[in-house]
Amino acid sequence: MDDAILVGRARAGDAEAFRELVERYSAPLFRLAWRIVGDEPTAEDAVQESFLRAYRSLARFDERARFATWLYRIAANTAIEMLRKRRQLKLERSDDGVLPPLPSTAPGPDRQALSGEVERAVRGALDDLSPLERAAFVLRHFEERSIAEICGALGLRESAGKQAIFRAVKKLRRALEPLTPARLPGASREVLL
Amino acid sequence: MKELNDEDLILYFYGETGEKGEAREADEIGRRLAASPELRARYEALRRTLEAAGSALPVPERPASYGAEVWARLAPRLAETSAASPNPPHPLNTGAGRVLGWPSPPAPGRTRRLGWLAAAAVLLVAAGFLAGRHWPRPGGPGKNTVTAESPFPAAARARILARTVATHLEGSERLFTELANARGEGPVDVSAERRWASDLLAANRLYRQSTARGGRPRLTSLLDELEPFLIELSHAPDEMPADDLDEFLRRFEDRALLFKMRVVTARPTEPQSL
Repeated sequence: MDDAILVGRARAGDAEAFRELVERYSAPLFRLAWRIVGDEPTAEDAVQESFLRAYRSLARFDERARFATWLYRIAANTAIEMLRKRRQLKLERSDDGVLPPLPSTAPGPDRQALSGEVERAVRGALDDLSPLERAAFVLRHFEERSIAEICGALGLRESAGKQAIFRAVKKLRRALEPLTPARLPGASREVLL
Repeated sequence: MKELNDEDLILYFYGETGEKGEAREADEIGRRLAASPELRARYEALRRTLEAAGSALPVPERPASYGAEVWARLAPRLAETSAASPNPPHPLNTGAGRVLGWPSPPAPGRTRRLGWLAAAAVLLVAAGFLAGRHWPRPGGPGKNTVTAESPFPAAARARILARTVATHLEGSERLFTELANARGEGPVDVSAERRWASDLLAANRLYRQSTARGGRPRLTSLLDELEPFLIELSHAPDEMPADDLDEFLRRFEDRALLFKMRVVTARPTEPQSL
């Protein structure tokens, strides 16, 4: 059934219609959130929180807009907020030395063994980005949203949106430069990063 | 045409060259890439990096039942709220409020207004308590001052204040982000945001005074800049015409307040962010 019909029903109080939307968009929202926050438990929390916020705001959702775009916008902002909070907690932990350790965002030993240098370099580079830069890059690179859409979703001016993406790409290049060209997919010896 | 830099090549890679990705400019870059081996090598290196980044991070897979699992966890929480009446968090119900042991706000109902007043009074007392501990009165501590008995060092109290204000700014940031998300073609129901702004306004005034007394001019100035927007929103009609909301948000964006708030909330205890 079309999103617009389900949204209309959900707004009228039909919980089953909202359930269908949740089931439809949970996986794509998880992918988006995971790429922004970098760990599964936080990404799952972001998915839950996004649907909760969407539900609360459903009454004023403009039916002429695309539900998916609106929902992604909420999810991206929720994930940014959660990433920021997690980093803040880490800072506080390093300040005080008394907070319990947080689950690491780094891959475990088994995963490390399986993942390549490129994956580690990309993870490191993404962890080095600000939440906003990371979200802008994820939305542009993985979700293939236009810069205009990204700026609308994240409340940025176009120049700020572009700069966030430029910074993200530069950091990625810096992280991947130490790898020899041959290790990158499709690379040849003549071309240096 | 000017020399192409890395930023031009990044936009070209993403198909965002020129105003709204004009094909003419993209064609021109394509011609220049074809003509210049050096430029082509630069672009190829960029392309490989970005493609490597794209394929290097496999997203953990979710089972087919994931949507149903999300719903199972979500449904009980939805039962507590209503799609028609958004219920944003109250400042006292945020992380900082809980850390400082402030009471949760009362449930909506007939006692709601009375409850807010009581909670606001507790907020004032708690903040006054913290401020009093932090900034000794002229003439030195008397028997009624608590400075000498404070179990926390001054730096810890300053940090509590900084984090409390950061949480307040985080709430404000969320309010304006949600308001921006609500933008549409027609009139927008902002009744929930209006109530939310009203709650934040009371806290904002308090924190502005506390930070001013605590010698945090940059933070005071940020709260000072935020306040007129909270006042305006708290006095807005329940339904705002789209143009009015756009104009309001444009003025807000012009002050780059969202950015400034994000700087503070990202590193609340760092002196340069305050």
